[in-house]
Amino acid sequence: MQNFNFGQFTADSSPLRHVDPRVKILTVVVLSILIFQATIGEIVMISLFVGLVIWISRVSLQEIWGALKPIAVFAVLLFLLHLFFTEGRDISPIPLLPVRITYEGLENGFLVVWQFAALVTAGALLTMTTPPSTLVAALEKLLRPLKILRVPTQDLAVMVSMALRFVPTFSEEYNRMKTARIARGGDLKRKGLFRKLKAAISIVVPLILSAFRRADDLAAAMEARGYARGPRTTLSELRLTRIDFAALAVMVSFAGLTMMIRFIDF
Amino acid sequence: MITFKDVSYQYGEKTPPVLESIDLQIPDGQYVAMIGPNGCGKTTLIKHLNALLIPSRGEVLINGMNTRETSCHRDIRCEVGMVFQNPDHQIVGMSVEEDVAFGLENLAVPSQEISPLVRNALSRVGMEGFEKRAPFSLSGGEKRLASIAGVLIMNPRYLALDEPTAYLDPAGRRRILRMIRQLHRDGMGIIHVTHDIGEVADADRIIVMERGAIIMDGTPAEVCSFLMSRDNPGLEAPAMAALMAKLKESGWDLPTNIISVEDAYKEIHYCMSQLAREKGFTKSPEIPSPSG
Repeated sequence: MQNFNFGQFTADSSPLRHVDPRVKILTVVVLSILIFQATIGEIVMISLFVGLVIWISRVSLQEIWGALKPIAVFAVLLFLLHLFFTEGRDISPIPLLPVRITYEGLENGFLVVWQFAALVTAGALLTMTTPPSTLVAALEKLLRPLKILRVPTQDLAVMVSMALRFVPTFSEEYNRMKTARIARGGDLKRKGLFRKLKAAISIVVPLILSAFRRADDLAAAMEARGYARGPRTTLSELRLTRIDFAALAVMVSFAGLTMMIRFIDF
Repeated sequence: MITFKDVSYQYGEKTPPVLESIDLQIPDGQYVAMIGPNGCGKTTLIKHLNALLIPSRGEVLINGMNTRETSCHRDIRCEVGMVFQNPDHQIVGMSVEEDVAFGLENLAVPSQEISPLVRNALSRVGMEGFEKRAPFSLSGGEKRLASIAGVLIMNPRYLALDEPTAYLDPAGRRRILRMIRQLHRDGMGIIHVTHDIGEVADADRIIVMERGAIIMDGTPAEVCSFLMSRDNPGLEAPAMAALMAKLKESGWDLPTNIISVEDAYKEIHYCMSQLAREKGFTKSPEIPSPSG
């Protein structure tokens, strides 16, 4: 939890910081579609593109790992599920292993874990290189057409901003509670699933209660500063520049190229 | 003018009232302090000032605007700025400038006008250059100043502060109190909730609350006399007043309605110089009287 950095703006000096957040959000959306439809052949291409973006962003691999780490266990579980439960051609039986492993299972497991990791990396790159205020302003602008359908787009944007604001708060609160437990002789690294679960509940329940209290206080503080339904502006004003058009062109070309390769494959 | 007319408030229908029949008027530019034990209703009372709470009975008028009128809430919140007890619980932005700008964003001030106003609000509280800092990385005193800047940017006529010096070290406390005095000198009305009467010796008026009611409303000297009297329901008397009372018991001719260290020093110094003169010590320095 201490190194949990997903959703936090950390790369202030990154060149990507100056790219309009709307372009970055659109890129993540397009990339997500490509990632979900990717075949094994396209993985290399998309991975290279994501790698190139990481290099340009100057976000360190350590920071990317910081964002991936919390989902590592989940990714391993997904991989094993696909590996063991996919029908297909048997890989030559491994002695002492009670289940069958198939080539298709291995391929699917790898694909799903890659998709998962690529999505999280793209999302982390977006939030790490974008100050939350501009991210919220961009979301609000992108969602604006939904106003016709009476979707409260401004409220949605503020909700996202509040969710991001709570990440360091929760992290801090969790560490405080953990320290308080340890100081009173609590052992949070107990062995055994049941004991581990019990130790986790002893922290999670007060954490959730504290979150509700904090949310209540924050709502009052927001109201006190005039937050209400109605027109709002944002500190950061968004304007597309040449860099943004260039980034858009790169994104469109890349998406086009990927689609073309798929078409040729067929 | 802030007016409370027979205001009562209870959090639930079956719970006892937290405020009972409060009648109160606070003119523009006045520095009002509120003291009282925990749970006496101070925080509940100031939450009525910017319509965060609506009275169960009676009404609260802010410059003629009734807090019951939902359409007036935005204007009321511009008139009365509210600084909560714990600055961590009111941080909205991920950077100091985003946090300070929040109020203006809500008022739909054009984006290009917000940044200069943020810089101005931060310079008013002595926090120039903190714009890009993360609020969570600031010290307790800095967080508090940033939260005050977030309220000042809306240019309120009154500033309500709920225990603004809680959780602060002595240096942080002095900094906040200095700033409150400065804002009052600039003409802003201050409503300052505190447990420590010593920090509001400069207030124009002190209101003492107990069990949801106002039991004393007067100048600091009057409230101090009340706290030193037998009518005091158990609130702690100012340390300086207690010292003066002890000296008076020992035969010194000193007033006991003293709150601040400065006033106590002046009184004791004056008394000692009088004594020196009476005893014929010719080298006694010329000491001005407390009034002069």
